Amino acid sequence: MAILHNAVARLWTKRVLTLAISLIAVLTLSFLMIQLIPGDPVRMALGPDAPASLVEERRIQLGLDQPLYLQYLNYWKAVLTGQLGSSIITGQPVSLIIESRLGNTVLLVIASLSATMLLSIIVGIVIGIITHGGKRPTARFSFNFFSGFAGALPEFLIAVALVYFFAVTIKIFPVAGAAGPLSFVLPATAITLGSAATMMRIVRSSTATVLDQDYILVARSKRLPRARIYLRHALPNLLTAALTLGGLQLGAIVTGTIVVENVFAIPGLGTALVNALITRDFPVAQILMLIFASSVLILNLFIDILLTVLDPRSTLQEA
Amino acid sequence: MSGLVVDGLTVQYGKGSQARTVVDDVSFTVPQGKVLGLVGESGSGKSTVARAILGLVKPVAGEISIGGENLPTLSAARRARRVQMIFQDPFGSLNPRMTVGQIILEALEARRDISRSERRSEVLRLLDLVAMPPDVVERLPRRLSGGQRQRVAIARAFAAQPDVIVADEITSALDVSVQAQVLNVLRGVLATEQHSMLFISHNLAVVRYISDVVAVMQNGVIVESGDVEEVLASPRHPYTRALLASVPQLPQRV
Amino acid sequence: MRSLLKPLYSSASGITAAVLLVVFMLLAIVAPGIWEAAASTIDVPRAWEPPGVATLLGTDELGRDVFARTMVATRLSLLSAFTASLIAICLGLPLGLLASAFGRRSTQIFRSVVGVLIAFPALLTAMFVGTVIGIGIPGAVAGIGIAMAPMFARLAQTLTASITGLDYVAAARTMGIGRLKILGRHILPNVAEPLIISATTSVGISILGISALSFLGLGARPPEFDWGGLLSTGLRSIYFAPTHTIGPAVMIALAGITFSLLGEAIAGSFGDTQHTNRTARLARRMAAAARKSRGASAGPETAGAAASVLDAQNLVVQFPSHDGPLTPVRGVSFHLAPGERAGIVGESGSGKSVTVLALAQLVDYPGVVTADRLRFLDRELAELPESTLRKFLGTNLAMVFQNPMSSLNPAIRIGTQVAESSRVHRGLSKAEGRELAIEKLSAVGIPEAESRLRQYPHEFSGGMRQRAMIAMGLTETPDLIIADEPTTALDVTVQRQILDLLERINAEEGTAILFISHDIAVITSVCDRVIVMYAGLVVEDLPTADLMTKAVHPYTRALINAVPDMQTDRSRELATIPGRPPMVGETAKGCPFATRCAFATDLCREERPELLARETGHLAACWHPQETVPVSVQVSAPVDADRETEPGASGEGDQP
Repeated sequence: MAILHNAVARLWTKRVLTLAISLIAVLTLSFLMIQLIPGDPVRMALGPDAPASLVEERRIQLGLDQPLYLQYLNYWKAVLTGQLGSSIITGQPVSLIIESRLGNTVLLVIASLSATMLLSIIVGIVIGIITHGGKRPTARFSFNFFSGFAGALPEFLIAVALVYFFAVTIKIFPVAGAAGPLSFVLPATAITLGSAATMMRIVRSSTATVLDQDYILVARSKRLPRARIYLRHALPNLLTAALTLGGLQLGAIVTGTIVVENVFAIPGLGTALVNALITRDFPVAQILMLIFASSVLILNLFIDILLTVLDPRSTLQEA
Repeated sequence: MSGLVVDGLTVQYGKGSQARTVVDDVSFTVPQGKVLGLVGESGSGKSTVARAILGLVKPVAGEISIGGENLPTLSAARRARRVQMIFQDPFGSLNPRMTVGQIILEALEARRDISRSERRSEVLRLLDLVAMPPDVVERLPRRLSGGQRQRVAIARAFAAQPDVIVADEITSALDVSVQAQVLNVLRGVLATEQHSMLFISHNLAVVRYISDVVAVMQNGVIVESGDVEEVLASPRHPYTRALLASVPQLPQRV
Repeated sequence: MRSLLKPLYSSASGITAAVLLVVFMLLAIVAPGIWEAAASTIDVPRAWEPPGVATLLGTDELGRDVFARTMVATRLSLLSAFTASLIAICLGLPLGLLASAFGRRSTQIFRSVVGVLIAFPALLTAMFVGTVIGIGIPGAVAGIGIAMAPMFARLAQTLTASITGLDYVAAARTMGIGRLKILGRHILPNVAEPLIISATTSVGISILGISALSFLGLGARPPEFDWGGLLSTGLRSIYFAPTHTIGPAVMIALAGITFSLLGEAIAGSFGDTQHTNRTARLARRMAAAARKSRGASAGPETAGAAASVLDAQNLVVQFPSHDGPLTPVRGVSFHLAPGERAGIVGESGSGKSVTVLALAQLVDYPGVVTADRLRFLDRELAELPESTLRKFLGTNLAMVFQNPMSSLNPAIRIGTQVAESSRVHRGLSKAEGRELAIEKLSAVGIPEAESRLRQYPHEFSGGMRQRAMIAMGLTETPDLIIADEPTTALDVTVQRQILDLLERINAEEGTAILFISHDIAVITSVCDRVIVMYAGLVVEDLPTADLMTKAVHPYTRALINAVPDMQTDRSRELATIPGRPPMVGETAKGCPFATRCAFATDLCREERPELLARETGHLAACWHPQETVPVSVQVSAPVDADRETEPGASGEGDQP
């Protein structure tokens, strides 16, 4: 047991260390965004007609006149204390922008994430079981066809199709803004459809692989009830397999909100980010980038934790 | 042609505090023209010895020499003329995209004593040596059975005309009726070509049949060695005795 | 290359994808020439025209034809996507190849860095790069290209690493072949196919990615336009000119799907639908026929023999394949008395494993099992209802399989797995199950059973796992243990322990044992009886005591003589059987061994010999039983190499 604990400890150290390094890298890159842009970012943001005095004033305000290392230190300080600076264009504090928009984005991510997991696991397993061993080739073909089709469509396209359908024909759901829970139905659907389609293909093939394993044959040789074989013997193993393969897919859901918020004009972090990028409002853009990037990294760590809980082997193998 | 001398060979996997010694101060000699059978169970380090001789792993200590040349210091091409290997898995040891002819021709590249024009006839001679018909030169490995592939692998190893050939578990992936063909072919080739061989196997009966001398390995150490009949008839080390006692036997012949 | 393209024209989706690809290519080439004027000429009076004959999708706020604009945008959209994929490949491949060329340490660092990069959503990376380079098509293309590069880097690295680990690369290295030649000859040709597949798929991903950026306003900027840009313009007027979104949306969707279909078609994952349909139909027909024949033959009970553990008569197992049914077991009959230890010996393709799966009612769809009689503990299995059958077999029959590494469920604790049968079939409580598990684990010689209950299979060694498997089978004190190659994956000393354990169980509990192995010596050391199988048939069945004196089938005798043992005469060649065992489906009429047999006559090749009793407890199926010659005298045929693959060709092997 001591060996195992050691292994667990080593694995955790490795995971947390990787996360820390990644976060530092992301933070540094988001800081460098302003520095890497060719030309004067303030001039770019304010446009060629802005008076030189205003540009200079904003430069000083942003601290761009200071030496690079000092700017970097200040950036760290800002991120750690939450004193995030303000927009070049509007002068609005970044923390205020985040505060007013975070809720919508989080809601959308959670809704899409849970819908994707639920849909893909249930459909993937059921299809995996009923088509296992070459049974029901027509069902398998239709599943492959439809999930392949939906998986190949990007979120923004599905979103536009939904807007088209519900705005032009049936007006059940609001197609723009964030007024009440109903207005999240279509955006969450747009994100879920595509990612669930991809994910359920992964779940299906993991199911098929797990059902072919020797230990399933052994479970059958013990004449266990089918439900027990599927739920007790197959499920944990296939979830591990599916999460290992499909975990990356889930990170894409977070960024999927950026696109979909723009289609449905939801006042969230995604719309703010795109807006900031288009208007070259770099102080806002860099912080929002940092938020999206670190939440993806943290989500990935969370999936890794889930994997070690689900599969005791992975602890030993990786350490 | 010369024999193989291994002296004080030590191999470790991992580094620093995590280093595991898998081969520990192993010494043996394969006399010129003889077959040394190296027996041991999984984890005994016998395959690591093979890989060290072939330069596929780096030893931390010890000498491996053939004809007075220390193998670890030789260039890959020079070593190729000294030692060759036959691998365990006939399905993994032949490139699936090369024909049998190309596979053996590649091994002939190491030879200096035959010209380009002689190579084709040498390929056919080698195939004949392992009882394969000439028309297989055009075939891809996937059209050959396991036993046939293993014979091609034998032909490839002999093609380079090395002093020593290392055979690592070469029959353990084969059906029993096919194993006999491969062993017969190997014996036939050894008789005509006068090479020395290190024959590694977990199967005592096969080692007994093919080898002149035997060395028994356990946990990275050679525990007993000597003439094959002598060691197996009157083993002195308890591990050798335990191994022999474990071998399943057919009822006595009449 | 031809083999790579074959799946394209052999599957419907492949053909569709190929046709779409050609259409897109043509459009990209000719569309700007045809529609350029209509697409970019500003004609304000004609703004917001509804769709009609002249303008298929209507006109935009500047009077430009939206359909023409969509067509013209094909070139920019595809060109950007190809460029992005090219950037990804040019950055990723060399990185991945280099990483595997250096030492283990650098590979590890590379892998964790790429691991983080891959987990990082492409859209964010692309946005970052695009912003730094400057908003526009070049920024978007570079962004998507760089975002996809880690994917190729990892693919190249894992592919090369997997190939580099293979023996044929090691073989090339031992032959002194240079690094570059090894890369060119052995590695690249074998990684090319998967790389081409993902390059194809990546074009689709690029199209979608760049469209997304343009759609957000971070890609093409006016006056440039691609599909994503057109879609975003269309969305703004979706309430009064909904058709404007249709064109670009359809093009993006079609292009994305084309490349993903193309990739899948090359990979061949779609190609098999027709075959599986045919096999599924065949499976249904076979199952129906089997049901019918069962009803017909369930007539008179000709039993009369002593009570038996297992009694199989004419057991047949069939699997459908696209070339018709395959029959790995072609009519096996045998009988096992209580407490008896019998062994089935056979080589690959002999059908021995499928036979025991069928005996244990474990042949799964699409396999079909039929038998004139299949009785376990004197009860006909076909007649038992499903629920009774489950408990009956679950408590009376135990199975041990070949690979202890994969036979235990990696996610469930050992104790739970051992006690599971009893808890399910007998309703034991958790505590009772625990007690039972401790008792049985100790009984099979696992020390400190109590503390090992909570461990997972990966914490057990191979020998210990096989013991745990046996303990798992013993919890319900079964009447029969079927052990399918239980020691093949183990070392000889461990094998000996497992064999001793099985013998002890047999002696103490009276449990009958059916032991399957390819190694006749292993069989004779545990079993009272040897059943020899070849090509799905029993060819000889005799007491172990008679094996060395009375075996008459040439195959049985060859098996004995072909395997060297500790008494084998080292000065003589081993007896060999020419050729190799037939694979399932390669069987002809007549005796299955005829093609490899030194005594075969025309009769053997024409008519299959029946398994007939020679004396009590000895059956053989042979037209020319070798009764006068002692078993150990070798009658060996030449190593006839060529017969193995082409029965018609002449063999020119060396002579014995």
